[in-house]
Amino acid sequence: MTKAFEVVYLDPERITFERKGDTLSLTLQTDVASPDAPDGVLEGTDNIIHYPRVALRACFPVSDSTEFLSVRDATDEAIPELGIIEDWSQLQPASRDAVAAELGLHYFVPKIIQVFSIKEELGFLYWVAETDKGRKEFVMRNSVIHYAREVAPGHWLLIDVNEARYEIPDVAVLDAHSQKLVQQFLYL
Amino acid sequence: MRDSTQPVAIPAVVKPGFVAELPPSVTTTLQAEGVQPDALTLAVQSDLGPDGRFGEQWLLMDPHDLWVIERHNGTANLRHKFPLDKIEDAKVERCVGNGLMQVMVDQQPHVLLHYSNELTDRFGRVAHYLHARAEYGEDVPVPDPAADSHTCLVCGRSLVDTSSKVCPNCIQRGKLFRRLIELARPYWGKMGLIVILLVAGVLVDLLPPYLTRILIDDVLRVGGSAGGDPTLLPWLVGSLLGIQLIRVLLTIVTNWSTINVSTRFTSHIRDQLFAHLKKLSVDYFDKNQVGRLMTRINQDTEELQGLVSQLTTFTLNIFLVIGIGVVLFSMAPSLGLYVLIPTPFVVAAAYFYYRYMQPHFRRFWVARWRLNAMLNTFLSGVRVVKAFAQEDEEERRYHNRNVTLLNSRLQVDLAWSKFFPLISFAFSAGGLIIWYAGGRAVLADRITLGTLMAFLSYLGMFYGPLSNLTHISQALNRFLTISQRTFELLDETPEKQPVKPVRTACLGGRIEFDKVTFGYDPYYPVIRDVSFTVEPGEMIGIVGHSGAGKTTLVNLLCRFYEVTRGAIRIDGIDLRDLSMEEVRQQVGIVLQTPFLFHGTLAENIAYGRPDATRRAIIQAAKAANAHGFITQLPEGYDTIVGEGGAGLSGGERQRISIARAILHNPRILILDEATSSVDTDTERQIQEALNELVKGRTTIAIAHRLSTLYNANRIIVINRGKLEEQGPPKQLMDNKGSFYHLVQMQTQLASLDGVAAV
Repeated sequence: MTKAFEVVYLDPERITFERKGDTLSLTLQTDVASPDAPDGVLEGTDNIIHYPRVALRACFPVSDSTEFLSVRDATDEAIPELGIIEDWSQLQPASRDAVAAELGLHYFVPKIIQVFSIKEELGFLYWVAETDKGRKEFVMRNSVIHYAREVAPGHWLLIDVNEARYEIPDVAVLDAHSQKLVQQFLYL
Repeated sequence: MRDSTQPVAIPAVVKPGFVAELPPSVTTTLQAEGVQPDALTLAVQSDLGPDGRFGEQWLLMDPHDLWVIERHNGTANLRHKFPLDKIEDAKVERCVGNGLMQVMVDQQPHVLLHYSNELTDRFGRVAHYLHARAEYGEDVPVPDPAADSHTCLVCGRSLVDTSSKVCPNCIQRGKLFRRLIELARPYWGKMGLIVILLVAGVLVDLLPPYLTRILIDDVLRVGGSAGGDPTLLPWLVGSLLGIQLIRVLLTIVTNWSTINVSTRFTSHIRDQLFAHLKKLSVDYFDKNQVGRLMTRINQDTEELQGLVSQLTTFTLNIFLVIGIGVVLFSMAPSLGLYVLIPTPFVVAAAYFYYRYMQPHFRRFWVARWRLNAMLNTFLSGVRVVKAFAQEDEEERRYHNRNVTLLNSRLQVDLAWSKFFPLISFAFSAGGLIIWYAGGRAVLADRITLGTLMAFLSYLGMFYGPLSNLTHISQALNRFLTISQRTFELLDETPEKQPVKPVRTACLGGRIEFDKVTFGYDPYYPVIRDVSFTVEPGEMIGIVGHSGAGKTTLVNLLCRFYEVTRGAIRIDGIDLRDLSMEEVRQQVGIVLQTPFLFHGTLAENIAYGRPDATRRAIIQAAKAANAHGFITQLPEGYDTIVGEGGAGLSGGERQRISIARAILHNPRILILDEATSSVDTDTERQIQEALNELVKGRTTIAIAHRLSTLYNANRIIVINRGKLEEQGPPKQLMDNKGSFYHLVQMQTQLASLDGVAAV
């Protein structure tokens, strides 16, 4: 019963992620639980568990996505947490690349690099912008109060009509034209 | 990095028969696989590439196989290929800003592709198809992935405002206007009157400058061959006074009539909306959030009223501009042309005002809203702020927002102080042109001084209405959009009633669920193949984890929703053949969160039977264990509750709702977690009331605390929408199945709490 309240941390050296197509799998080495051992764990014997598909959730996706990564069993409908990796940059290179690719797909939040135009029409803002994921046209409701959130000073999160998210990591580093547009329509 | 300067257009759905639209490289790849594109049954495009950027992937299907092909820089390559018969299941999952589609093949999960949120519906349909095909075989029809998505009903383009079914470009203005005029039929007379009043007002407005002209030319004429006629002076001044008085009177009557008509018209629409709203099914209310509906009914009609008044002003201004224009040109055609010179400036200034001033105002409003929100949070959380000693931090935050507000206010005033003098200059410059040109004409004796003076007066009346008319298209668009939304709500199909309802004198209360399958979204069933029967007078407990589908079963029984497959029968009659009133008269429900309407306690208890006698109300309250506390209240049964009314505790409110159910006297009673949100002592009191209520009725009780179900005849365990176990509680305990485990878990939790185990 108490187990549910404990955070399980995974040792980056004992886990391997592998990516086939868009499917991320995990191989986990754990100590074999044994009631005979003094601390309940029989040292030196590894138990290898393979999860054919795991899902990743960053605990701090906006502020820092390299730390505290929740690893979950995606084959179970309830996607239960298997454990947390505190710093996934310490994974072996192949695993690290697999994790980076998976996170890149799961968190599809394009960062706006340049704003070409913003147009207001009948309560909607029509954006045309260059993002780090490619050029994109999107539409958001013209209610800055509800659909534009300042997550940190100068760092904005925009939510479009499809609940897709776009980030402006720092308004101040945008070019002058983009800044002017953003300021005019987000009322900064 | 790949070249990505091309914007990603909204991806296409290629319908079978139109496969020529597939990119040639994809077709080539398919042909390499030995498949001819015209054999495809489905071709759907995703807008994300495998590299997590905007890109292009195709999901293709023929009657035997499924492929995923990626296209990148004009070349296509095959990513996945699966025989359809080997796909055991398929589903979509929500990620952040996108979604993914997974299939199970040989017990192994495979993620096929990701797609952006725009395409959620589309891929959901495909996944549902694959799931259904795996379950029911290849006869399941291939879906049209584009059906029922948020596209404009007329032009088929993606809809931005999903609260409307037609995009702004496609609103059929003429048709809409005809409908509006039809809707306004009761006000036709009054509207005609308003138009007459408007025309009269314009005519009256045109008179004073004309009289001024006579005054100057024929009365105040000094020198010259013939002097003026002084006797006309009192008459002319008197007439001017009379005209002013008539104008005042006309303005009052016009304004009053306009307000009267627009207010009554919108109130009429509101009534119609509400009357229609009550006929809609619960399903509709699920799909439309309370907030959005509130907006439709309150804000939209409010705005409609404002717009009706605004349209009246526009009409007046159109008459004025035409009237004055005609007078100006007929008085002095040459000067008339000069009037047109400042016109572009006036129009430009009005447009500039909208573009330039409006953002400043909005920025100010937003800043003010943010400051207010912050203050609101602080005031409602002041205890927390103090308990965590964060006063200084809060002060800093408030100060920052206050500075933003200050700056935006300064910007508004600065912009206004620049704008206003400039616009005044533009207006008076127009006048100066007339002074110069008109002055020369007077000196050359082409026109009289009076004509020039009248001309200048008319001019003053000309530019105001003209600048006002520059917003007309904006207001008109807004008006049409809101009208469209209003009509859409009025056009929503009401709850389905049976064509020929079966009448029964009295329902016995036998309930039968026959292989019931149901999903709020038909693509995601939450109840799967559930069958059970409840005999009259029996009490059944439904248990299961949260989200297992317990409440859904009850919603189906109340016919808030219709089953997707299978049937529910009461006394052998399909629920769909019974009239809605009949069903709901026979079914009583006590919910987890009791809902009290604004009104007295007596009215609340008698909600289902407004004609109940006081004796019956007290009897019901007594049986619900509520009489005791009600009579202790200063106003007793007359206590006003609901919004703005007296605060009752959760347990007290629950007992009121039980009294309501007792008075309603249904054959079938549903208790949906009726005691889960109250403390143990209150629970005991409510339980006592419930024991009274269930006597002699068919009862279905959903309970979180299993202890409350020990006197149930049978227990039904639901897990993930499927019936897992059923039988008398004792038997289930002996079987050591899921019910046993649920009880075990609660016992452990209870002992954790230090509470005696069930």
